[in-house]
Amino acid sequence: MDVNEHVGSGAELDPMSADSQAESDAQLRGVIDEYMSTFQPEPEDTAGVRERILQLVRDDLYRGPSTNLQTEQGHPFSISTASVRSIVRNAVDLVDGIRARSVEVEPAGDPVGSAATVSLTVAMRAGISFGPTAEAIRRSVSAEVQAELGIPAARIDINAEDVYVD
Amino acid sequence: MKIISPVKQVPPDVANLLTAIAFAYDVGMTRHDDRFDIVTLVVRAREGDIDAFEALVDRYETKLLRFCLRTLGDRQDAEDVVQDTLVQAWKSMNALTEPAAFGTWIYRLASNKCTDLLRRRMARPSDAQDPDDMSIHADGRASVEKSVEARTALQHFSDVLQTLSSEQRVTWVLHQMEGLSYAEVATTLGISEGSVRGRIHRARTAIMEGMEGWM
Amino acid sequence: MLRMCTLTDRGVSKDSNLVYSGNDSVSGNGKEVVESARLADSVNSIAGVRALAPGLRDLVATATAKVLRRTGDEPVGVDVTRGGDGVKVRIDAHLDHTRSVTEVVDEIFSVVEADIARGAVEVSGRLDIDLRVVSRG
Repeated sequence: MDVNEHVGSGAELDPMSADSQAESDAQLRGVIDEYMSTFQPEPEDTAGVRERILQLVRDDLYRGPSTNLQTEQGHPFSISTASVRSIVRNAVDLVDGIRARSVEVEPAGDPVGSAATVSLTVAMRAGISFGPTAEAIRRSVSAEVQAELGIPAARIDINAEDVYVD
Repeated sequence: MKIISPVKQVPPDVANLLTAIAFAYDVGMTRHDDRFDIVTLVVRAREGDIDAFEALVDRYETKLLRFCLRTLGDRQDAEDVVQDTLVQAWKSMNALTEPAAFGTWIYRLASNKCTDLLRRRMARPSDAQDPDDMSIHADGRASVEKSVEARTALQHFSDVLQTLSSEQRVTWVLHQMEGLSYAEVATTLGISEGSVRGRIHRARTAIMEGMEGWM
Repeated sequence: MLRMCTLTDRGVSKDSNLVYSGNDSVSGNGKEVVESARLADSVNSIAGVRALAPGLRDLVATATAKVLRRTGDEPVGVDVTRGGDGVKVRIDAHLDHTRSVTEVVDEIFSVVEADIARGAVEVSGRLDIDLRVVSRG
Protein backbone atom coordinates (compact mmCIF):
# COMPACT_ATOMS: atom_id res chain seq x y z
CA MET A 1 0.00 0.00 0.00
CA ASP A 2 2.24 2.83 1.12
CA VAL A 3 5.40 0.91 1.87
CA ASN A 4 7.13 3.39 -0.37
CA GLU A 5 6.01 6.39 1.68
CA HIS A 6 8.67 8.38 3.45
CA VAL A 7 7.34 10.01 6.56
CA GLY A 8 10.04 12.33 7.81
CA SER A 9 12.64 9.59 7.69
CA GLY A 10 15.35 12.14 7.01
CA ALA A 11 16.79 9.96 4.22
CA GLU A 12 18.02 11.80 1.19
CA LEU A 13 16.13 11.02 -1.93
CA ASP A 14 18.67 10.50 -4.70
CA PRO A 15 17.93 8.17 -7.66
CA MET A 16 20.20 5.36 -6.40
CA SER A 17 18.76 5.26 -2.91
CA ALA A 18 15.20 5.53 -4.27
CA ASP A 19 15.74 2.38 -6.38
CA SER A 20 17.27 0.38 -3.57
CA GLN A 21 14.54 1.73 -1.29
CA ALA A 22 11.90 0.44 -3.70
CA GLU A 23 13.68 -2.90 -3.82
CA SER A 24 13.81 -3.24 -0.03
CA ASP A 25 10.17 -2.26 0.18
CA ALA A 26 9.28 -4.96 -2.33
CA GLN A 27 11.34 -7.54 -0.46
CA LEU A 28 9.77 -6.46 2.81
CA ARG A 29 6.36 -6.81 1.20
CA GLY A 30 7.39 -10.34 0.25
CA VAL A 31 8.33 -11.16 3.83
CA ILE A 32 5.12 -9.60 5.09
CA ASP A 33 3.05 -11.64 2.62
CA GLU A 34 4.83 -14.81 3.64
CA TYR A 35 4.29 -14.00 7.32
CA MET A 36 0.61 -13.39 6.66
CA SER A 37 0.24 -16.67 4.80
CA THR A 38 1.59 -18.64 7.74
CA PHE A 39 -1.44 -17.59 9.76
CA GLN A 40 -4.51 -19.15 8.24
CA PRO A 41 -7.07 -20.19 10.82
CA GLU A 42 -8.03 -23.83 10.35
CA PRO A 43 -11.75 -24.62 10.08
CA GLU A 44 -11.47 -26.84 13.15
CA ASP A 45 -9.93 -23.94 15.10
CA THR A 46 -12.77 -21.60 14.30
CA ALA A 47 -15.31 -24.36 14.96
CA GLY A 48 -13.81 -25.01 18.39
CA VAL A 49 -13.77 -21.36 19.40
CA ARG A 50 -17.28 -20.93 18.04
CA GLU A 51 -18.64 -23.78 20.17
CA ARG A 52 -17.06 -22.42 23.33
CA ILE A 53 -18.38 -18.92 22.64
CA LEU A 54 -21.94 -20.15 22.04
CA GLN A 55 -21.92 -22.28 25.17
CA LEU A 56 -20.81 -19.34 27.32
CA VAL A 57 -23.38 -17.12 25.65
CA ARG A 58 -26.14 -19.68 26.22
CA ASP A 59 -25.24 -19.92 29.91
CA ASP A 60 -25.41 -16.15 30.15
CA LEU A 61 -28.76 -16.13 28.39
CA TYR A 62 -30.25 -18.58 30.87
CA ARG A 63 -29.45 -16.15 33.66
CA GLY A 64 -31.12 -13.24 31.83
CA PRO A 65 -34.28 -11.32 32.78
CA SER A 66 -37.72 -12.94 33.08
CA THR A 67 -41.28 -11.98 32.25
CA ASN A 68 -44.07 -12.88 34.70
CA LEU A 69 -47.19 -14.33 33.13
CA GLN A 70 -50.15 -16.45 34.09
CA THR A 71 -52.01 -19.29 32.39
CA GLU A 72 -55.72 -19.16 31.76
CA GLN A 73 -56.17 -21.60 34.63
CA GLY A 74 -54.52 -19.05 36.87
CA HIS A 75 -51.12 -20.69 37.28
CA PRO A 76 -48.39 -18.05 37.53
CA PHE A 77 -44.98 -18.64 36.01
CA SER A 78 -42.00 -16.69 34.85
CA ILE A 79 -40.36 -17.21 31.50
CA SER A 80 -37.06 -15.93 30.18
CA THR A 81 -37.80 -12.69 28.35
CA ALA A 82 -35.54 -13.86 25.53
CA SER A 83 -37.84 -16.85 24.93
CA VAL A 84 -40.91 -14.63 24.72
CA ARG A 85 -39.21 -12.22 22.35
CA SER A 86 -38.13 -15.15 20.23
CA ILE A 87 -41.75 -16.28 19.76
CA VAL A 88 -42.74 -12.80 18.61
CA ARG A 89 -39.67 -12.42 16.37
CA ASN A 90 -40.35 -15.67 14.58
CA ALA A 91 -43.95 -14.60 13.97
CA VAL A 92 -42.78 -11.31 12.47
CA ASP A 93 -40.11 -12.92 10.28
CA LEU A 94 -42.78 -15.15 8.74
CA VAL A 95 -44.25 -12.10 7.02
CA ASP A 96 -42.73 -11.63 3.58
CA GLY A 97 -40.48 -8.60 3.27
CA ILE A 98 -40.25 -7.98 7.00
CA ARG A 99 -37.39 -8.49 9.43
CA ALA A 100 -38.08 -8.17 13.13
CA ARG A 101 -35.71 -5.94 15.04
CA SER A 102 -36.49 -4.84 18.57
CA VAL A 103 -39.23 -6.68 20.48
CA GLU A 104 -40.76 -5.73 23.81
CA VAL A 105 -43.37 -7.83 25.60
CA GLU A 106 -45.06 -6.60 28.77
CA PRO A 107 -47.50 -8.45 31.02
CA ALA A 108 -50.99 -6.99 30.77
CA GLY A 109 -54.62 -7.84 31.34
CA ASP A 110 -56.52 -8.49 34.50
CA PRO A 111 -55.07 -10.25 36.38
CA VAL A 112 -51.75 -8.87 35.17
CA GLY A 113 -49.89 -11.43 33.15
CA SER A 114 -52.94 -13.09 31.69
CA ALA A 115 -52.35 -11.14 28.47
CA ALA A 116 -49.43 -9.36 26.88
CA THR A 117 -48.79 -6.12 25.06
CA VAL A 118 -46.24 -6.25 22.29
CA SER A 119 -44.24 -3.37 20.81
CA LEU A 120 -41.87 -4.04 18.00
CA THR A 121 -39.74 -2.39 15.38
CA VAL A 122 -39.10 -3.85 11.96
CA ALA A 123 -37.05 -3.35 8.84
CA MET A 124 -39.07 -3.51 5.61
CA ARG A 125 -37.97 -4.53 2.16
CA ALA A 126 -37.92 -1.62 -0.25
CA GLY A 127 -41.21 -1.38 -2.11
CA ILE A 128 -43.38 -2.99 0.58
CA SER A 129 -46.42 -0.94 1.52
CA PHE A 130 -46.68 -0.56 5.25
CA GLY A 131 -50.45 -0.49 5.87
CA PRO A 132 -51.45 -3.98 4.70
CA THR A 133 -48.14 -5.41 5.86
CA ALA A 134 -48.67 -4.13 9.40
CA GLU A 135 -51.98 -5.98 9.41
CA ALA A 136 -50.26 -9.16 8.30
CA ILE A 137 -47.70 -8.72 11.07
CA ARG A 138 -50.42 -8.26 13.68
CA ARG A 139 -52.25 -11.37 12.53
CA SER A 140 -49.08 -13.41 12.57
CA VAL A 141 -47.94 -12.21 16.00
CA SER A 142 -51.39 -12.62 17.50
CA ALA A 143 -51.69 -16.18 16.20
CA GLU A 144 -48.16 -17.24 17.17
CA VAL A 145 -48.27 -15.74 20.65
CA GLN A 146 -51.55 -17.52 21.34
CA ALA A 147 -50.38 -20.81 19.84
CA GLU A 148 -46.79 -20.90 21.14
CA LEU A 149 -47.08 -19.00 24.38
CA GLY A 150 -50.72 -19.70 25.12
CA ILE A 151 -51.47 -16.12 26.08
CA PRO A 152 -53.42 -13.53 24.06
CA ALA A 153 -51.67 -10.45 22.72
CA ALA A 154 -53.82 -7.56 23.91
CA ARG A 155 -52.10 -4.92 21.81
CA ILE A 156 -49.45 -4.98 19.13
CA ASP A 157 -47.60 -1.77 18.26
CA ILE A 158 -45.42 -1.82 15.16
CA ASN A 159 -42.83 0.72 14.12
CA ALA A 160 -41.02 0.48 10.79
CA GLU A 161 -37.59 1.98 11.35
CA ASP A 162 -35.60 0.98 8.33
CA VAL A 163 -35.72 -0.21 4.75
CA TYR A 164 -33.51 -2.89 3.27
CA VAL A 165 -32.76 -4.05 -0.23
CA ASP A 166 -32.39 -7.78 -0.81
CA MET B 1 8.88 -16.32 19.18
CA LYS B 2 7.11 -19.48 18.33
CA ILE B 3 4.82 -19.39 15.32
CA ILE B 4 2.62 -22.39 15.75
CA SER B 5 0.83 -22.86 12.47
CA PRO B 6 2.93 -24.16 9.59
CA VAL B 7 2.19 -23.28 5.99
CA LYS B 8 -0.56 -25.61 4.86
CA GLN B 9 -0.09 -27.68 1.75
CA VAL B 10 -3.83 -27.84 1.00
CA PRO B 11 -4.71 -25.52 -1.90
CA PRO B 12 -6.98 -22.65 -0.76
CA ASP B 13 -9.93 -23.66 -2.93
CA VAL B 14 -10.02 -27.17 -1.47
CA ALA B 15 -9.72 -25.78 2.03
CA ASN B 16 -12.63 -23.41 1.39
CA LEU B 17 -14.73 -26.24 0.00
CA LEU B 18 -14.05 -28.38 3.05
CA THR B 19 -14.96 -25.48 5.30
CA ALA B 20 -18.19 -24.90 3.37
CA ILE B 21 -19.14 -28.57 3.66
CA ALA B 22 -18.33 -28.59 7.37
CA PHE B 23 -20.60 -25.62 7.99
CA ALA B 24 -23.37 -26.89 5.74
CA TYR B 25 -23.75 -29.94 7.98
CA ASP B 26 -23.33 -27.89 11.10
CA VAL B 27 -26.72 -26.16 11.11
CA GLY B 28 -29.91 -28.21 11.32
CA MET B 29 -32.18 -25.79 9.52
CA THR B 30 -31.70 -23.02 7.01
CA ARG B 31 -30.78 -19.85 8.79
CA HIS B 32 -32.66 -16.98 7.26
CA ASP B 33 -30.68 -14.56 9.37
CA ASP B 34 -27.56 -15.43 7.40
CA ARG B 35 -28.64 -12.69 5.02
CA PHE B 36 -29.75 -10.11 7.56
CA ASP B 37 -28.11 -6.69 7.65
CA ILE B 38 -25.75 -5.91 10.51
CA VAL B 39 -28.10 -3.47 12.26
CA THR B 40 -30.90 -6.06 12.40
CA LEU B 41 -28.50 -8.72 13.70
CA VAL B 42 -27.09 -6.45 16.41
CA VAL B 43 -30.47 -5.16 17.60
CA ARG B 44 -31.75 -8.72 17.85
CA ALA B 45 -28.60 -10.09 19.46
CA ARG B 46 -28.59 -7.50 22.21
CA GLU B 47 -32.12 -8.55 23.11
CA GLY B 48 -31.09 -12.16 23.48
CA ASP B 49 -31.51 -13.55 19.95
CA ILE B 50 -28.80 -16.17 20.03
CA ASP B 51 -29.30 -17.10 16.37
CA ALA B 52 -28.61 -13.51 15.36
CA PHE B 53 -25.50 -13.50 17.54
CA GLU B 54 -24.39 -16.74 15.93
CA ALA B 55 -24.71 -15.08 12.53
CA LEU B 56 -22.48 -12.24 13.76
CA VAL B 57 -19.94 -14.73 15.05
CA ASP B 58 -19.96 -16.47 11.66
CA ARG B 59 -19.24 -13.19 9.90
CA TYR B 60 -16.43 -11.97 12.10
CA GLU B 61 -14.78 -14.93 13.76
CA THR B 62 -12.36 -15.95 11.03
CA LYS B 63 -11.25 -12.39 10.34
CA LEU B 64 -10.71 -11.75 14.02
CA LEU B 65 -8.85 -14.99 14.51
CA ARG B 66 -6.54 -14.21 11.61
CA PHE B 67 -5.91 -10.70 12.91
CA CYS B 68 -5.09 -12.02 16.39
CA LEU B 69 -2.86 -14.76 15.00
CA ARG B 70 -0.89 -12.19 13.01
CA THR B 71 -0.65 -9.81 15.94
CA LEU B 72 0.14 -12.31 18.67
CA GLY B 73 1.89 -15.08 16.74
CA ASP B 74 0.42 -17.76 19.00
CA ARG B 75 -2.62 -19.89 18.23
CA GLN B 76 -3.76 -20.48 21.81
CA ASP B 77 -3.48 -16.80 22.71
CA ALA B 78 -5.30 -15.82 19.53
CA GLU B 79 -8.17 -18.23 20.23
CA ASP B 80 -8.44 -16.98 23.81
CA VAL B 81 -8.61 -13.37 22.68
CA VAL B 82 -11.26 -14.09 20.03
CA GLN B 83 -13.35 -16.08 22.51
CA ASP B 84 -13.09 -13.38 25.19
CA THR B 85 -13.81 -10.64 22.65
CA LEU B 86 -17.00 -12.20 21.28
CA VAL B 87 -18.33 -13.21 24.70
CA GLN B 88 -17.64 -9.70 25.97
CA ALA B 89 -19.43 -8.33 22.91
CA TRP B 90 -22.50 -10.40 23.75
CA LYS B 91 -22.56 -9.25 27.36
CA SER B 92 -21.97 -5.58 26.66
CA MET B 93 -23.75 -5.10 23.35
CA ASN B 94 -25.95 -2.45 24.91
CA ALA B 95 -22.83 -0.29 25.13
CA LEU B 96 -22.70 -0.17 21.35
CA THR B 97 -24.66 2.98 20.54
CA GLU B 98 -24.43 2.54 16.76
CA PRO B 99 -25.30 -1.02 15.70
CA ALA B 100 -23.89 -0.31 12.24
CA ALA B 101 -20.46 0.15 13.81
CA PHE B 102 -20.34 -3.40 15.13
CA GLY B 103 -17.36 -4.39 12.97
CA THR B 104 -15.21 -1.49 14.11
CA TRP B 105 -16.27 -2.04 17.71
CA ILE B 106 -15.36 -5.72 17.67
CA TYR B 107 -11.95 -4.98 16.20
CA ARG B 108 -11.38 -2.40 18.91
CA LEU B 109 -12.23 -4.90 21.64
CA ALA B 110 -9.88 -7.45 20.08
CA SER B 111 -7.11 -4.88 19.55
CA ASN B 112 -7.27 -3.78 23.17
CA LYS B 113 -7.04 -7.36 24.38
CA CYS B 114 -4.10 -8.02 22.04
CA THR B 115 -2.32 -4.91 23.28
CA ASP B 116 -2.85 -5.93 26.90
CA LEU B 117 -1.57 -9.41 26.22
CA LEU B 118 1.50 -8.16 24.40
CA ARG B 119 2.26 -5.76 27.24
CA ARG B 120 2.01 -8.54 29.78
CA ARG B 121 4.29 -10.68 27.63
CA MET B 122 6.91 -7.97 27.37
CA ALA B 123 6.81 -7.47 31.10
CA ARG B 124 7.93 -11.08 31.54
CA PRO B 125 11.35 -11.32 29.82
CA SER B 126 11.89 -14.79 31.29
CA ASP B 127 9.14 -15.99 28.95
CA ALA B 128 11.02 -14.83 25.84
CA GLN B 129 11.13 -17.60 23.27
CA ASP B 130 14.32 -19.08 21.93
CA PRO B 131 14.50 -18.31 18.18
CA ASP B 132 15.63 -21.90 17.64
CA ASP B 133 12.15 -22.96 18.80
CA MET B 134 10.74 -21.52 15.61
CA SER B 135 8.46 -23.98 13.93
CA ILE B 136 7.71 -22.14 10.73
CA HIS B 137 8.07 -24.50 7.84
CA ALA B 138 9.03 -23.05 4.51
CA ASP B 139 7.49 -24.21 1.29
CA GLY B 140 8.86 -27.72 0.86
CA ARG B 141 9.08 -27.38 -2.88
CA ALA B 142 11.79 -24.69 -2.76
CA SER B 143 15.43 -25.64 -2.97
CA VAL B 144 17.18 -26.39 0.29
CA GLU B 145 19.37 -23.34 0.00
CA LYS B 146 16.51 -20.99 -0.78
CA SER B 147 14.30 -22.46 1.92
CA VAL B 148 17.01 -21.99 4.52
CA GLU B 149 17.31 -18.35 3.45
CA ALA B 150 13.52 -17.85 3.40
CA ARG B 151 13.07 -19.40 6.82
CA THR B 152 15.73 -17.22 8.34
CA ALA B 153 14.38 -13.98 6.91
CA LEU B 154 10.86 -14.84 8.01
CA GLN B 155 12.04 -15.90 11.45
CA HIS B 156 14.02 -12.73 11.75
CA PHE B 157 11.04 -10.66 10.70
CA SER B 158 9.04 -12.26 13.50
CA ASP B 159 11.79 -11.38 15.95
CA VAL B 160 11.82 -7.78 14.74
CA LEU B 161 8.04 -7.54 15.15
CA GLN B 162 8.50 -8.58 18.74
CA THR B 163 10.70 -5.57 19.40
CA LEU B 164 7.89 -3.16 18.55
CA SER B 165 5.84 -1.71 21.36
CA SER B 166 2.45 -3.38 21.73
CA GLU B 167 0.68 -0.28 20.42
CA GLN B 168 2.96 -0.05 17.39
CA ARG B 169 2.55 -3.70 16.62
CA VAL B 170 -1.25 -3.74 16.81
CA THR B 171 -1.47 -0.52 14.77
CA TRP B 172 0.96 -1.79 12.16
CA VAL B 173 -0.81 -5.14 11.75
CA LEU B 174 -4.19 -3.42 11.34
CA HIS B 175 -2.78 -1.23 8.59
CA GLN B 176 -0.28 -3.46 6.79
CA MET B 177 -1.95 -6.84 7.14
CA GLU B 178 -5.64 -6.22 7.77
CA GLY B 179 -5.54 -3.53 5.08
CA LEU B 180 -7.27 -0.79 7.05
CA SER B 181 -6.62 2.81 6.00
CA TYR B 182 -5.13 5.27 8.48
CA ALA B 183 -8.59 6.70 9.08
CA GLU B 184 -10.08 3.26 9.67
CA VAL B 185 -7.28 2.31 12.05
CA ALA B 186 -7.83 5.57 13.94
CA THR B 187 -11.56 4.87 14.30
CA THR B 188 -10.94 1.28 15.33
CA LEU B 189 -8.44 2.12 18.04
CA GLY B 190 -10.16 5.32 19.12
CA ILE B 191 -7.05 7.43 18.54
CA SER B 192 -6.23 10.31 16.20
CA GLU B 193 -5.01 9.75 12.67
CA GLY B 194 -1.87 11.62 13.65
CA SER B 195 -1.16 9.05 16.36
CA VAL B 196 -1.70 6.28 13.83
CA ARG B 197 0.80 7.84 11.42
CA GLY B 198 3.31 8.28 14.22
CA ARG B 199 3.06 4.69 15.37
CA ILE B 200 3.27 3.29 11.86
CA HIS B 201 6.23 5.48 11.01
CA ARG B 202 8.12 4.35 14.10
CA ALA B 203 7.18 0.74 13.45
CA ARG B 204 8.30 0.90 9.84
CA THR B 205 11.61 2.52 10.81
CA ALA B 206 12.28 -0.20 13.36
CA ILE B 207 11.35 -2.94 10.89
CA MET B 208 13.46 -1.50 8.07
CA GLU B 209 16.45 -1.15 10.36
CA GLY B 210 15.94 -4.60 11.80
CA MET B 211 15.60 -6.21 8.38
CA GLU B 212 18.64 -4.48 6.92
CA GLY B 213 20.94 -7.08 5.46
CA TRP B 214 18.24 -9.74 5.56
CA MET B 215 16.66 -8.74 2.28
CA MET C 1 -53.96 -27.99 54.51
CA LEU C 2 -54.05 -24.43 53.29
CA ARG C 3 -52.82 -24.17 49.72
CA MET C 4 -51.94 -20.96 47.93
CA CYS C 5 -49.95 -20.56 44.82
CA THR C 6 -48.22 -17.24 44.69
CA LEU C 7 -45.79 -15.69 42.33
CA THR C 8 -42.52 -14.94 44.01
CA ASP C 9 -39.52 -13.12 42.67
CA ARG C 10 -36.42 -15.07 42.06
CA GLY C 11 -34.24 -13.43 44.63
CA VAL C 12 -32.42 -15.79 46.94
CA SER C 13 -34.83 -16.70 49.70
CA LYS C 14 -33.70 -17.20 53.24
CA ASP C 15 -34.76 -20.81 52.84
CA SER C 16 -31.76 -21.45 50.66
CA ASN C 17 -29.52 -20.93 53.66
CA LEU C 18 -30.63 -24.40 54.67
CA VAL C 19 -28.80 -25.75 51.66
CA TYR C 20 -25.50 -24.11 52.27
CA SER C 21 -25.07 -24.24 56.00
CA GLY C 22 -21.92 -26.11 56.80
CA ASN C 23 -23.50 -28.30 59.42
CA ASP C 24 -26.08 -29.83 57.13
CA SER C 25 -25.81 -33.54 56.90
CA VAL C 26 -27.45 -35.49 54.15
CA SER C 27 -30.00 -36.85 56.56
CA GLY C 28 -30.77 -33.36 57.88
CA ASN C 29 -32.35 -32.21 54.63
CA GLY C 30 -32.39 -35.66 53.09
CA LYS C 31 -36.17 -35.63 53.02
CA GLU C 32 -36.21 -32.58 50.80
CA VAL C 33 -33.60 -34.10 48.53
CA VAL C 34 -35.73 -37.18 48.05
CA GLU C 35 -38.85 -35.11 47.51
CA SER C 36 -37.06 -32.95 44.97
CA ALA C 37 -35.96 -36.01 43.06
CA ARG C 38 -39.44 -37.53 43.05
CA LEU C 39 -41.01 -34.37 41.70
CA ALA C 40 -38.21 -34.02 39.16
CA ASP C 41 -38.96 -37.49 37.83
CA SER C 42 -42.61 -36.61 37.38
CA VAL C 43 -42.00 -33.24 35.81
CA ASN C 44 -39.30 -34.60 33.51
CA SER C 45 -41.73 -37.08 32.01
CA ILE C 46 -44.22 -34.39 30.94
CA ALA C 47 -44.45 -33.99 27.18
CA GLY C 48 -42.98 -30.63 26.23
CA VAL C 49 -40.38 -30.57 29.01
CA ARG C 50 -37.00 -30.93 27.36
CA ALA C 51 -34.89 -30.85 30.52
CA LEU C 52 -34.76 -29.44 34.00
CA ALA C 53 -32.05 -26.95 34.82
CA PRO C 54 -29.74 -27.91 37.67
CA GLY C 55 -31.26 -26.85 40.96
CA LEU C 56 -29.38 -25.38 43.88
CA ARG C 57 -28.90 -28.79 45.38
CA ASP C 58 -26.98 -30.13 42.46
CA LEU C 59 -24.00 -28.53 44.07
CA VAL C 60 -24.24 -31.47 46.48
CA ALA C 61 -25.13 -33.89 43.72
CA THR C 62 -23.18 -36.80 45.14
CA ALA C 63 -25.34 -36.81 48.25
CA THR C 64 -28.43 -36.98 46.05
CA ALA C 65 -26.94 -39.82 44.08
CA LYS C 66 -26.24 -41.79 47.23
CA VAL C 67 -29.73 -41.28 48.55
CA LEU C 68 -31.40 -42.24 45.30
CA ARG C 69 -28.89 -44.72 43.90
CA ARG C 70 -28.53 -42.66 40.71
CA THR C 71 -25.44 -42.34 38.59
CA GLY C 72 -24.75 -39.00 40.19
CA ASP C 73 -24.54 -36.72 37.22
CA GLU C 74 -28.20 -36.19 36.45
CA PRO C 75 -29.39 -32.75 37.52
CA VAL C 76 -32.41 -33.00 39.77
CA GLY C 77 -33.86 -29.68 38.62
CA VAL C 78 -36.44 -29.30 41.36
CA ASP C 79 -35.83 -27.72 44.73
CA VAL C 80 -38.13 -28.37 47.64
CA THR C 81 -37.44 -26.11 50.58
CA ARG C 82 -39.27 -25.52 53.80
CA GLY C 83 -39.53 -22.13 55.36
CA GLY C 84 -41.40 -20.68 58.28
CA ASP C 85 -44.85 -20.69 56.75
CA GLY C 86 -44.86 -23.57 54.30
CA VAL C 87 -43.22 -25.42 51.46
CA LYS C 88 -41.73 -23.97 48.32
CA VAL C 89 -41.24 -26.01 45.19
CA ARG C 90 -38.88 -24.34 42.78
CA ILE C 91 -38.57 -25.59 39.22
CA ASP C 92 -36.40 -24.32 36.36
CA ALA C 93 -37.46 -26.01 33.15
CA HIS C 94 -36.27 -26.08 29.55
CA LEU C 95 -39.16 -26.63 27.19
CA ASP C 96 -39.34 -27.72 23.58
CA HIS C 97 -41.58 -26.47 20.78
CA THR C 98 -44.09 -29.32 20.79
CA ARG C 99 -46.71 -27.69 23.03
CA SER C 100 -47.66 -24.18 24.00
CA VAL C 101 -45.94 -22.84 27.10
CA THR C 102 -49.11 -22.46 29.16
CA GLU C 103 -50.20 -26.00 28.33
CA VAL C 104 -46.96 -27.37 29.76
CA VAL C 105 -47.08 -25.00 32.73
CA ASP C 106 -50.59 -26.16 33.61
CA GLU C 107 -49.53 -29.77 33.40
CA ILE C 108 -46.48 -29.17 35.58
CA PHE C 109 -48.70 -27.64 38.22
CA SER C 110 -51.17 -30.49 38.09
CA VAL C 111 -48.45 -33.14 38.22
CA VAL C 112 -46.81 -31.51 41.22
CA GLU C 113 -50.12 -31.09 43.00
CA ALA C 114 -51.02 -34.72 42.31
CA ASP C 115 -47.66 -35.88 43.67
CA ILE C 116 -48.25 -33.82 46.78
CA ALA C 117 -51.73 -35.26 47.21
CA ARG C 118 -50.15 -38.72 46.97
CA GLY C 119 -47.71 -37.83 49.71
CA ALA C 120 -44.54 -37.52 47.62
CA VAL C 121 -44.02 -34.20 49.36
CA GLU C 122 -45.16 -33.46 52.87
CA VAL C 123 -46.90 -30.12 52.92
CA SER C 124 -48.08 -28.28 55.97
CA GLY C 125 -48.86 -24.61 55.64
CA ARG C 126 -48.60 -22.81 52.37
CA LEU C 127 -47.54 -24.47 49.13
CA ASP C 128 -45.70 -22.18 46.75
CA ILE C 129 -44.84 -23.44 43.28
CA ASP C 130 -42.21 -21.20 41.72
CA LEU C 131 -41.83 -22.17 38.09
CA ARG C 132 -39.45 -20.60 35.61
CA VAL C 133 -39.25 -21.48 31.94
CA VAL C 134 -35.54 -21.00 31.28
CA SER C 135 -35.56 -21.67 27.57
CA ARG C 136 -37.71 -22.95 24.76
CA GLY C 137 -36.04 -24.61 21.83
